[in-house]
Parts: sequence; structure tokens; C-alpha cells
Amino acid sequence: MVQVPRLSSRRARWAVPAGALVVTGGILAGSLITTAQAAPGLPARTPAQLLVQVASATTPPLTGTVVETASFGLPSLPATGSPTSLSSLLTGSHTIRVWYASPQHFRLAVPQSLSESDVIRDGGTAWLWQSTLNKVTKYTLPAHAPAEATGPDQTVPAQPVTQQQAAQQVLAAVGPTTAVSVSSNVSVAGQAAYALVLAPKDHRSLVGQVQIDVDARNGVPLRLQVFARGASTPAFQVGYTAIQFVTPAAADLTFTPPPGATVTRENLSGGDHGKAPDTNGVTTIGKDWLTVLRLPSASLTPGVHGSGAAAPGEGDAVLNALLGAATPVHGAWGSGRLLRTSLVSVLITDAGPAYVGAVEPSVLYAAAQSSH
Amino acid sequence: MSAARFYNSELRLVLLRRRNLLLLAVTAIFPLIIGIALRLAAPHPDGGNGGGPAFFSQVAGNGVFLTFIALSTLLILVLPVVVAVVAGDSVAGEAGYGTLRYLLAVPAGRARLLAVKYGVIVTFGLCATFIVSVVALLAGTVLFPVGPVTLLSGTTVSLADGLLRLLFVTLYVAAAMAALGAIGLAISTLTEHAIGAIAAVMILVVTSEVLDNVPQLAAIGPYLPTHWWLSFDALLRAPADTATLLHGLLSFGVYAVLSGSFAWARFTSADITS
Repeated sequence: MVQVPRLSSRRARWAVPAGALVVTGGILAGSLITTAQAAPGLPARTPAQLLVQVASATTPPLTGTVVETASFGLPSLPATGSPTSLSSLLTGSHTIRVWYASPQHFRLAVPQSLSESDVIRDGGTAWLWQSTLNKVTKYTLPAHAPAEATGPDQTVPAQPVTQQQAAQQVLAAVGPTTAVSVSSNVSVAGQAAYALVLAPKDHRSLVGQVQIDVDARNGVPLRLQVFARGASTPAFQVGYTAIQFVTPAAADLTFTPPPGATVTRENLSGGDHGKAPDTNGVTTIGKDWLTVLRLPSASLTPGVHGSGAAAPGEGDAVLNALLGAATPVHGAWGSGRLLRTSLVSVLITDAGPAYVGAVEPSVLYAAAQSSH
Repeated sequence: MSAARFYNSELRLVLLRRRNLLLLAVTAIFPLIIGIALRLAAPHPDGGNGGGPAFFSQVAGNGVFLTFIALSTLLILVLPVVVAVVAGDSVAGEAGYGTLRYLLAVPAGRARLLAVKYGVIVTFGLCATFIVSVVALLAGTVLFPVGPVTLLSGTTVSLADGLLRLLFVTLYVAAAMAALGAIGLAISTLTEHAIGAIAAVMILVVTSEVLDNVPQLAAIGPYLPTHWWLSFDALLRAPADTATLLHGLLSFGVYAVLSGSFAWARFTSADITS
């Protein structure tokens, strides 16, 4: 004898899975909304005060996770699986785990599925570990490292007496090109933060605004977002998704090459550590937000000629994928192909050189004409 | 009949079914094949083996890694098939054979029958996962040197620590299979054709894995049922990435609860005539 419940009670049972589904969806949506809209209450700050806070901040010891997301609206690029490859930096999302005690003692880990790359700096020694290659590179660093190049410090001139003056000078310097403001407060990785917004005044820039979220308590930049003009979601974003201001355990900041790994040594304590990186003939045209990079033809030749070399490398594959989405254009400057994304324009001239900038195509055309 | 006796008799039925024993034997053979193949190929410790999970080469230095290689390889298809067969068959098979009404004639209650069926599925998945781990560990010990374990972060931990991490990795994979078992049980309550339920579970697994590998769909990836399966690698980092592990376990729990409640609503309200 099979016991079948009454019809009404049978129907009512479906309320349980339906309820479970609604609760799950509600929690998911809730977590998405709170991260997007929570505006913590903080004492008001002017842009100058915020700049002072950033400039005077020393990064406290921390443990956290940084996620970088790029969505330039590029065509899908050939996947290579390497976290440092060109195509992987241009599209998708990447996670970096950070352990930071001081500029001389920190560790960065890039976890990938079933593999990991690590950079560990332990005083005068730095290590690069690549699990896929089972390879360790040991760098010997100069005894007296040059001062850490943190963003704000570079822009602040040495003369001003107070931070406040320095901030005013910075504001005055960027004033003609950039509107600096403080937007409504945000919550980043659970930390209340001020939002410093830099917006280009020139409408030929494709950058709508750059938002830097600054931790309210200690002035540490927690997140950088670059918005394309008219976009409500960032085209590029890098920031903490989790952060704790605690000193990492000493064991997380040291490294011993594992047995069986290949160890190569590189000495960076020689005299050439101050040398600028090889620019490969890349020059810039224009300034500030309208800066255009001019790449010599050599760096793009394989892609321009289509079929590429006998064994096209990863760079060629990426380039060909990009060129496939480019449209032919011509003008007084000559002719070539134009690739437009929400944030970046690329002009590859038939003459050879390519022009790249976060600008409208007209600026690229002008740059191409001026460097004829 | 007490719940424990009911569970024991059901488990004996499932474990002694020749088809299921064969499935367990297959899961045991795979780690052996992988181990022997890797031993014959004798990969260089400096990598460059081209393809496969990155740590394939590390097995040459340490046999313990054969377990991680075996688990990550079998997680793609073999373990899901094993769980799908038992879960898809659990209710639909009985309905198809016409034995379900006799089971329900026992004054057990449908909810309890479902709970016992799910308990058996979870146990079977746990068995299959541990068989893979244990056979791979034994094969790795025989075929390769065994010693301190180098984690993905380059940190070397003692063999005991490595084996403890291996235990947690195995339990994590078993949890993933338990969540899949709940999905299979829910699908199984929808049909009287066991093969249809089994096929549906496998199609779901493969579809989820394919979608998870499409870069343009990265936004929905974390919500797919298979997304967190390989995240057991979080245990192989130093320090272990507990946030990722908890995300994975939360995903498994949500899928288990949703599917379980669906199976319960369906099974306790359906007319059972066969």
C-alpha cells in the first residue's frame, strides 16, 4: 500500500526547493549589491587632503588578495595559460596573493590551476619561483636599493615644506588637464575608503575617469579603476578583494629552493641597475591624457604581413587576432588599419609604424601626420 | 526497519552489484596506468613535458604527486561517471525495474528512503575517491622515490604534512562528488529510465566543464557546479588558500541543498505506480 499525500500538501512541498532557490539567489544578489553600493560614512575630505593622506602614508604590513580585471572589449585572444603572457594580461581576470611586511620583505604569489608563480623578496635576495618549470631564479639585489618608487612620491617635488603644499602643487600641475574630485565613499575588500577621481578635461581622451580608492584609516590605495568615456563599469581594474593589516608570518616571507628544482642566479647589484629598460625604439607623441605611443614597424612586422614567420610565436598569434578585428582606414596621413576598443585605439599604418593611445582615432591620425 | 539497517542493506546492494564493482575496479586501474606511463616516460625534473597538469613532471621527484595527478585527471570524467551511474540509477533504476513500490511498501517513508539513497551515493563517491588516492599513493611509492613534498608555492613540507594535505584533498574531492551525487539523485527522481538519468548527469557535467573554459563566460564560471572541483590545489599552496576552499565547499553545499530539496519535493509528491 503506497501512501500518497493529499494533493494540496503535495503541491506545498515544492515551496521548499523554491524557497531554497530564492534564498540562494537573494544572498547572491545581496552580496553583489552590498559590494557595489555600500557608502560608508567618513569625515569629508578635499582632494588636496586626500593627496596628502596618500603621499604621507607608509604601507603597513598586510596580507591580502589582489584581483586584476581587464575588459577592453578586445576580440578573444589565443589563450596561452601563462600568467605573464601578453594575451592573458589584456583579457580576463588575474589573482595575486600578497604578503607584505616592508619594502624589503614581501611575497607575491600568482596562483593558477594546479600551478603557481611566486616572487619573494627577502632582504638583499629576491626569488622567482615557477612551479610549471620547476625553476628558481635567485636575484642578488644591490645592498642599498634605490628608494621605492611609489606613485605619489614621484610626482611630489622635493622642495615643498609641508605635505599640504606638495598636494597643492600637484593639484595646480594637473589642473589644466585634469578635474580632480572626491566621489562618494566606497567599501573595498571590507575597508571603508575614499574615492579620488581624476577625469581628463580633453574630450578626445577615451578615458572617462580614473578612480583611486584610498583606505580611510591608513591612506593605502586599495583599488584603481579606469573607466572608458561614458562607461559605468571599469575597462581596467586592479584592487584588493581581501585585505588584513596584519604582519605576515615569517615563514611566508622566506624561500628555500626545493630539492630537484633548477636554480639560476642573477646578480643585480652591479652598476647597471639604474639603466632604463630598453624601449625598442618606442617614442611618445603628445602629453598627458593624449599621449600616443609610436611603435616602430619592426615590432609589428610579422602581424602586418599576415601569414607571419614559419613558426609564429605567441605574440604573433595575439597580433593576428587583433588585426582580424581592425578596420581599414585612410586619410591625409596615409592608410592603415584601425582597431578601436572602449579604452584604447590602435592605428597600424601601411607605412609601418603603429600608434597606440587611450585617445580618439583623430588624435592618432594627427600623430601619424606629424611624424611623417 | 531501523534507518541504520535500511542504509546497510541498501549499501550492500549497491556495493555488491557487479556493475558497480567493475566501476570501482576501473577507478583503481587508472592511477596504475598513469603511474606506469609516467615512470616509462621518465619526465625530466626540469619540466618541458608539454601538456597535462603542470605538476606532471614533479612526480619524478616524489611519488606522492601521483595522487594529485590521478585525482585531477580522473576528476574530469571518470569519477563523475562513477557517481553519475550510482546516483542516476538510485531512484530511476528501482522505478524502471518496478521494485520501487515494494520498497515504499515497507513502512519507511519516502523522505527516509531518499535520505538512505543519498547516504549510499555519498558513501560510494567517498569509496571511489579514496580508492583513487590510496592506489595512486601505493603506486607512487613503488614507482618513484618518496620524501618531503614540494608544494605548488615552492615550499617543501615534511612527508607527514604532505600526506595530511593529501587526506584533506581527498575529502574535498569526495565533497565535490557528494554534491554531484545530490544533483544525480534529483535527476533520478524525474524518470523511470536509469540510463536517461545517468546520461543527463554526464551531459550536465560536460556542459558545465565546457562553459567553465569559455573565457567570455568567465562571469558565470564561479556558479557552475564543476568550477570548484580542481580548487583542491588551494591545499597544495603555502599557506593553504582557505578562502578558495571555503568558496568551493560553499558551492558544493548550495548545490547539495538545492538538489536535495528538489529531489525531496519531487519524490514525496509524485505518483509512484511502478
